[in-house]
Amino acid sequence: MKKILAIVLALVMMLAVSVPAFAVDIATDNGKGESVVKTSTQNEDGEEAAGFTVSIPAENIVPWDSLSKDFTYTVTSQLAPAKAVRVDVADADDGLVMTDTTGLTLAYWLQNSYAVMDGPVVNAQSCTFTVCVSQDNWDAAPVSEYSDTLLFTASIVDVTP
Amino acid sequence: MKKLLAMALAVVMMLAVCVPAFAAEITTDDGKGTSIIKTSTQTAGGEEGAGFTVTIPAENTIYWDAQSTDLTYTITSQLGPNTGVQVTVDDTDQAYVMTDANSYTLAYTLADTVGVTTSPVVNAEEFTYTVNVAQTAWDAAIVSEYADELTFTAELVAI
Repeated sequence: MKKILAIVLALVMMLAVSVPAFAVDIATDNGKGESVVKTSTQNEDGEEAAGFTVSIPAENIVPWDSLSKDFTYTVTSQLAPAKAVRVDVADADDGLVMTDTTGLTLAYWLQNSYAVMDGPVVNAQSCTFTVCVSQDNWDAAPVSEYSDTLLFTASIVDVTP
Repeated sequence: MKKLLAMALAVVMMLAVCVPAFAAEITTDDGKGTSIIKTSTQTAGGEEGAGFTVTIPAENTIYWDAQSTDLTYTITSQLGPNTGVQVTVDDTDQAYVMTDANSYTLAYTLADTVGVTTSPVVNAEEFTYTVNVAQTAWDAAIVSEYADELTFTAELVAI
């Protein structure tokens, strides 16, 4: 019994392997058959075609006394339908304080701190975020170079097509 | 050879100019990158943010027989860290003598002639200097309006 089962199983497996690539045969004059062309989401090397690049500036200079300063980053993406890239900009340590080399501080806040791209496919879409410093804080600050590190996080989100 | 060097230099300079402003790229889902925000000490118009103003009186009235008269000036500053404004008051000709229209004289002295801000950032901080006239000088003086010119010198100092 076991042998029979083993033979049957082997036959089934062989048949499964030999499913023909050609599903339709045309054997008559003016006969017709249908065939599907279909793209893959992978390239010939097996790599996923979907992807994106968010290009962020290394340094963003805020002029002295500027109450708000716009900065840009760009996004290029090619994703699946109903997907888009979302970018969040935040203070890396959540302190929202710039410091100088002597330890002096300058508080700031961010506006337009996230953006969702227009669709799955965008080409160098420019996005703006804004660094704001209040006039009171500028007025109280010794003139120095204050800096802080921003953290950009890119993620893929669902969007309405 | 010089032409080649010049061309090579030009290419290097062009490449240097083309250094991309975007220094980091994020290409993975939930990928992260960092960027620096940094203030400039110059305004958007290219002017230096650091500066100060010393406001001095055009005229200082000393009442007759006043042996000691306090007079004030103010300093407003916004400077770099550990930097302050020092103001020195002195007689312009350093004779310390006031004269009237008839060339009569009245000797005086100055006190508290140096003022230094205690912080890089001060808003209309008031400083006092003193004009002293000895009673003997008052007593010997013909009653008139005596005047002299003072010089205020402001400089940046480490504090």
